[in-house]
Amino acid sequence: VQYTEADICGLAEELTCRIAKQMFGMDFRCVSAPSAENFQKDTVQGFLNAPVNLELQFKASPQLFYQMAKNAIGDEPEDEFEVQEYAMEFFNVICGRFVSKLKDHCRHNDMRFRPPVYLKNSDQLPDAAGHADEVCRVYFENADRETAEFCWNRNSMNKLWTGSEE
Amino acid sequence: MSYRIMIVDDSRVVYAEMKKMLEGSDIEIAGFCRSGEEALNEYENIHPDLVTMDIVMPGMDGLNAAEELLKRYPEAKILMVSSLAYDDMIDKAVEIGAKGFVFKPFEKDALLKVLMDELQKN
Repeated sequence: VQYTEADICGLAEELTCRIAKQMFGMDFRCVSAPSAENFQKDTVQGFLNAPVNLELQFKASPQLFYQMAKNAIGDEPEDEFEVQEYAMEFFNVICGRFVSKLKDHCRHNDMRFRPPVYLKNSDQLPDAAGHADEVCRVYFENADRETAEFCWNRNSMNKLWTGSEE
Repeated sequence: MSYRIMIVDDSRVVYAEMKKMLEGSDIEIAGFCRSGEEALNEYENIHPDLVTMDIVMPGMDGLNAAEELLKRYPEAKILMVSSLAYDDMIDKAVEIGAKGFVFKPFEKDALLKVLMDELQKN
Protein backbone atom coordinates (compact mmCIF):
# COMPACT_ATOMS: atom_id res chain seq x y z
CA VAL A 1 0.00 0.00 0.00
CA GLN A 2 1.40 3.39 -0.94
CA TYR A 3 0.52 6.13 1.53
CA THR A 4 -0.37 9.54 0.14
CA GLU A 5 -0.10 12.80 2.03
CA ALA A 6 -3.86 12.71 2.51
CA ASP A 7 -3.51 9.30 4.17
CA ILE A 8 -0.81 10.62 6.52
CA CYS A 9 -2.98 13.64 7.46
CA GLY A 10 -5.93 11.31 7.95
CA LEU A 11 -3.89 9.13 10.28
CA ALA A 12 -2.77 12.18 12.31
CA GLU A 13 -6.37 13.36 12.55
CA GLU A 14 -7.73 9.98 13.54
CA LEU A 15 -5.07 9.39 16.22
CA THR A 16 -5.35 12.89 17.69
CA CYS A 17 -9.15 12.77 17.96
CA ARG A 18 -9.24 9.23 19.34
CA ILE A 19 -6.51 9.74 21.93
CA ALA A 20 -7.90 13.14 23.06
CA LYS A 21 -11.21 11.41 23.67
CA GLN A 22 -9.60 8.50 25.47
CA MET A 23 -7.22 10.48 27.69
CA PHE A 24 -9.24 13.64 28.30
CA GLY A 25 -12.81 12.82 27.31
CA MET A 26 -12.45 15.73 24.91
CA ASP A 27 -14.11 15.81 21.51
CA PHE A 28 -11.86 17.26 18.84
CA ARG A 29 -13.14 17.70 15.33
CA CYS A 30 -10.94 18.35 12.33
CA VAL A 31 -11.30 21.73 10.62
CA SER A 32 -9.76 22.93 7.39
CA ALA A 33 -8.64 26.21 8.94
CA PRO A 34 -8.61 27.48 12.51
CA SER A 35 -11.34 29.92 13.53
CA ALA A 36 -8.72 31.85 15.50
CA GLU A 37 -5.13 32.11 14.27
CA ASN A 38 -3.62 34.80 16.45
CA PHE A 39 -3.78 33.35 19.91
CA GLN A 40 -1.02 32.56 22.33
CA LYS A 41 0.27 29.08 21.62
CA ASP A 42 2.38 26.63 23.52
CA THR A 43 4.08 23.87 21.59
CA VAL A 44 4.97 20.29 22.37
CA GLN A 45 7.88 19.33 20.17
CA GLY A 46 9.31 15.91 19.40
CA PHE A 47 11.94 14.47 17.09
CA LEU A 48 12.13 11.17 15.32
CA ASN A 49 15.67 10.15 14.45
CA ALA A 50 15.35 7.98 11.38
CA PRO A 51 16.91 7.73 7.90
CA VAL A 52 15.37 11.20 7.47
CA ASN A 53 15.04 13.14 10.71
CA LEU A 54 11.55 14.38 11.40
CA GLU A 55 10.20 17.06 13.71
CA LEU A 56 6.60 16.87 14.90
CA GLN A 57 4.69 19.45 16.93
CA PHE A 58 1.36 19.82 18.67
CA LYS A 59 0.22 23.38 19.39
CA ALA A 60 -2.61 24.70 21.50
CA SER A 61 -3.34 27.58 23.83
CA PRO A 62 -2.20 27.22 27.46
CA GLN A 63 -5.89 27.32 28.40
CA LEU A 64 -6.66 24.31 26.22
CA PHE A 65 -3.71 22.36 27.59
CA TYR A 66 -4.90 23.25 31.09
CA GLN A 67 -8.40 21.97 30.34
CA MET A 68 -7.01 18.71 28.96
CA ALA A 69 -5.03 18.10 32.16
CA LYS A 70 -7.98 19.07 34.33
CA ASN A 71 -10.23 16.62 32.51
CA ALA A 72 -7.73 13.80 32.98
CA ILE A 73 -7.12 14.50 36.65
CA GLY A 74 -10.75 15.27 37.49
CA ASP A 75 -9.55 18.24 39.53
CA GLU A 76 -7.45 21.39 39.15
CA PRO A 77 -3.85 20.59 38.13
CA GLU A 78 -1.30 21.18 40.88
CA ASP A 79 0.87 23.49 38.84
CA GLU A 80 1.85 24.38 35.29
CA PHE A 81 4.35 21.53 35.19
CA GLU A 82 1.59 19.01 35.71
CA VAL A 83 -0.28 20.57 32.78
CA GLN A 84 2.85 20.31 30.68
CA GLU A 85 3.34 16.66 31.61
CA TYR A 86 -0.17 15.79 30.46
CA ALA A 87 0.43 17.65 27.20
CA MET A 88 3.69 15.82 26.62
CA GLU A 89 2.20 12.43 27.47
CA PHE A 90 -0.67 13.08 25.04
CA PHE A 91 1.82 13.98 22.31
CA ASN A 92 3.98 11.01 23.21
CA VAL A 93 1.07 8.60 22.80
CA ILE A 94 -0.01 10.09 19.47
CA CYS A 95 3.53 10.02 18.13
CA GLY A 96 4.13 6.51 19.44
CA ARG A 97 1.14 5.22 17.53
CA PHE A 98 2.10 7.24 14.49
CA VAL A 99 5.69 5.98 14.50
CA SER A 100 4.51 2.40 15.00
CA LYS A 101 2.36 2.62 11.89
CA LEU A 102 5.26 4.16 9.98
CA LYS A 103 7.66 1.50 11.19
CA ASP A 104 5.38 -1.39 10.28
CA HIS A 105 4.74 0.14 6.86
CA CYS A 106 8.29 1.09 5.90
CA ARG A 107 10.47 -1.32 7.92
CA HIS A 108 13.06 1.40 8.65
CA ASN A 109 15.59 -0.30 10.90
CA ASP A 110 17.06 2.63 12.67
CA MET A 111 14.35 4.76 14.26
CA ARG A 112 14.33 6.40 17.66
CA PHE A 113 11.67 8.74 18.99
CA ARG A 114 13.15 11.18 21.48
CA PRO A 115 11.24 12.35 24.58
CA PRO A 116 9.22 15.48 23.75
CA VAL A 117 9.73 18.94 25.20
CA TYR A 118 7.19 21.64 26.08
CA LEU A 119 7.86 25.12 24.72
CA LYS A 120 5.92 27.95 26.34
CA ASN A 121 4.57 30.73 24.16
CA SER A 122 6.24 29.31 21.08
CA ASP A 123 4.80 29.45 17.61
CA GLN A 124 7.92 28.32 15.79
CA LEU A 125 7.26 25.76 13.09
CA PRO A 126 9.10 22.48 12.47
CA ASP A 127 12.41 22.87 10.75
CA ALA A 128 14.40 19.85 9.60
CA ALA A 129 18.12 19.92 10.29
CA GLY A 130 18.31 23.65 9.81
CA HIS A 131 16.61 23.65 6.42
CA ALA A 132 13.40 25.55 6.00
CA ASP A 133 10.98 22.82 5.08
CA GLU A 134 7.43 23.06 3.94
CA VAL A 135 5.15 22.36 6.87
CA CYS A 136 2.06 20.17 6.79
CA ARG A 137 -0.58 21.26 9.33
CA VAL A 138 -3.81 19.67 10.48
CA TYR A 139 -6.20 21.67 12.65
CA PHE A 140 -8.66 20.70 15.35
CA GLU A 141 -11.30 22.44 17.39
CA ASN A 142 -12.95 21.31 20.58
CA ALA A 143 -16.59 21.90 21.52
CA ASP A 144 -15.67 25.41 22.74
CA ARG A 145 -14.04 26.14 19.38
CA GLU A 146 -10.59 26.29 20.90
CA THR A 147 -8.00 25.48 18.27
CA ALA A 148 -5.17 22.99 18.28
CA GLU A 149 -2.75 22.03 15.56
CA PHE A 150 -0.56 19.06 14.71
CA CYS A 151 2.25 19.75 12.24
CA TRP A 152 5.41 18.30 10.76
CA ASN A 153 7.96 18.71 7.97
CA ARG A 154 6.14 17.71 4.83
CA ASN A 155 9.16 16.60 2.80
CA SER A 156 10.73 14.58 5.61
CA MET A 157 7.46 12.85 6.43
CA ASN A 158 6.71 11.99 2.81
CA LYS A 159 10.21 10.61 2.28
CA LEU A 160 9.90 8.41 5.34
CA TRP A 161 6.55 6.98 4.27
CA THR A 162 7.60 6.32 0.70
CA GLY A 163 11.08 5.07 1.59
CA SER A 164 12.48 7.44 -1.01
CA GLU A 165 15.45 8.37 1.17
CA GLU A 166 16.96 4.92 0.59
CA MET B 1 -3.30 -11.68 48.15
CA SER B 2 -1.86 -8.30 47.28
CA TYR B 3 0.96 -7.57 44.88
CA ARG B 4 3.56 -4.80 44.73
CA ILE B 5 4.64 -3.19 41.49
CA MET B 6 7.28 -0.65 40.57
CA ILE B 7 6.52 1.87 37.82
CA VAL B 8 9.40 3.17 35.71
CA ASP B 9 8.33 6.12 33.59
CA ASP B 10 9.64 9.65 33.09
CA SER B 11 6.05 10.95 33.17
CA ARG B 12 4.14 11.35 36.42
CA VAL B 13 0.99 11.20 34.28
CA VAL B 14 1.53 7.47 33.92
CA TYR B 15 1.92 7.11 37.68
CA ALA B 16 -1.29 9.11 38.26
CA GLU B 17 -3.24 7.13 35.66
CA MET B 18 -2.09 3.78 37.00
CA LYS B 19 -2.79 4.83 40.58
CA LYS B 20 -6.34 5.74 39.61
CA MET B 21 -6.91 2.55 37.65
CA LEU B 22 -5.46 0.26 40.34
CA GLU B 23 -7.57 1.70 43.14
CA GLY B 24 -9.56 -1.07 44.80
CA SER B 25 -7.50 -3.79 43.14
CA ASP B 26 -5.00 -6.16 44.76
CA ILE B 27 -2.10 -4.26 43.25
CA GLU B 28 -0.14 -1.67 45.20
CA ILE B 29 2.32 0.77 43.67
CA ALA B 30 5.40 0.21 45.80
CA GLY B 31 7.76 2.43 43.84
CA PHE B 32 7.91 5.02 41.10
CA CYS B 33 11.17 5.68 39.26
CA ARG B 34 11.50 8.39 36.64
CA SER B 35 14.47 6.93 34.75
CA GLY B 36 16.11 3.64 33.88
CA GLU B 37 19.09 4.56 36.02
CA GLU B 38 16.87 5.21 39.05
CA ALA B 39 15.13 1.87 38.49
CA LEU B 40 18.45 0.02 38.58
CA ASN B 41 19.32 1.73 41.86
CA GLU B 42 15.94 1.21 43.48
CA TYR B 43 14.99 -2.30 42.41
CA GLU B 44 16.82 -4.04 45.22
CA ASN B 45 15.30 -1.75 47.88
CA ILE B 46 11.76 -2.04 46.57
CA HIS B 47 11.95 -5.65 45.42
CA PRO B 48 8.61 -5.52 43.60
CA ASP B 49 6.60 -8.44 42.27
CA LEU B 50 6.58 -6.78 38.87
CA VAL B 51 8.07 -3.77 37.06
CA THR B 52 6.29 -1.72 34.40
CA MET B 53 8.92 -0.10 32.22
CA ASP B 54 8.38 2.77 29.79
CA ILE B 55 10.44 2.62 26.60
CA VAL B 56 10.98 6.24 25.56
CA MET B 57 12.80 7.96 28.43
CA PRO B 58 15.65 10.45 28.61
CA GLY B 59 19.03 8.86 29.28
CA MET B 60 18.90 5.07 29.40
CA ASP B 61 15.82 3.95 27.48
CA GLY B 62 13.45 1.30 28.79
CA LEU B 63 14.79 -1.55 26.68
CA ASN B 64 18.35 -0.98 27.87
CA ALA B 65 17.18 -0.56 31.46
CA ALA B 66 15.15 -3.78 31.27
CA GLU B 67 18.07 -5.69 29.80
CA GLU B 68 20.42 -4.44 32.52
CA LEU B 69 17.88 -5.10 35.26
CA LEU B 70 17.44 -8.68 34.08
CA LYS B 71 21.20 -9.21 33.98
CA ARG B 72 21.43 -8.16 37.61
CA TYR B 73 18.14 -9.71 38.78
CA PRO B 74 17.17 -12.56 36.43
CA GLU B 75 14.07 -13.24 38.52
CA ALA B 76 12.65 -9.77 37.81
CA LYS B 77 9.32 -9.69 36.00
CA ILE B 78 9.11 -6.78 33.59
CA LEU B 79 6.25 -5.55 31.43
CA MET B 80 7.15 -2.95 28.83
CA VAL B 81 4.81 0.05 28.61
CA SER B 82 4.63 2.19 25.51
CA SER B 83 2.57 3.57 22.68
CA LEU B 84 5.34 2.30 20.40
CA ALA B 85 3.74 -0.93 19.29
CA TYR B 86 5.57 -2.08 16.18
CA ASP B 87 6.61 -5.65 15.60
CA ASP B 88 10.37 -5.15 15.95
CA MET B 89 9.94 -3.37 19.27
CA ILE B 90 7.79 -6.16 20.66
CA ASP B 91 10.22 -8.80 19.36
CA LYS B 92 13.14 -6.96 20.96
CA ALA B 93 11.32 -6.70 24.30
CA VAL B 94 10.60 -10.43 24.28
CA GLU B 95 14.19 -11.22 23.25
CA ILE B 96 15.48 -9.23 26.23
CA GLY B 97 13.24 -11.22 28.54
CA ALA B 98 10.29 -8.88 29.15
CA LYS B 99 7.13 -10.77 29.99
CA GLY B 100 4.81 -8.68 27.87
CA PHE B 101 3.62 -5.32 26.68
CA VAL B 102 1.09 -2.78 27.92
CA PHE B 103 -0.02 -0.29 25.30
CA LYS B 104 -0.75 3.37 25.93
CA PRO B 105 -3.18 4.97 26.30
CA PHE B 106 -4.29 2.67 29.12
CA GLU B 107 -7.67 1.05 29.29
CA LYS B 108 -8.49 0.02 32.83
CA ASP B 109 -9.75 -3.51 32.19
CA ALA B 110 -6.93 -4.36 29.80
CA LEU B 111 -4.31 -2.95 32.16
CA LEU B 112 -5.62 -4.90 35.14
CA LYS B 113 -5.83 -8.09 33.13
CA VAL B 114 -2.25 -7.88 31.82
CA LEU B 115 -0.87 -7.06 35.27
CA MET B 116 -2.87 -9.72 37.12
CA ASP B 117 -2.15 -12.41 34.50
CA GLU B 118 1.56 -11.88 34.97
CA LEU B 119 1.45 -11.45 38.74
CA GLN B 120 -0.53 -14.63 39.26
CA LYS B 121 1.89 -16.81 37.27
CA ASN B 122 3.81 -19.15 39.59
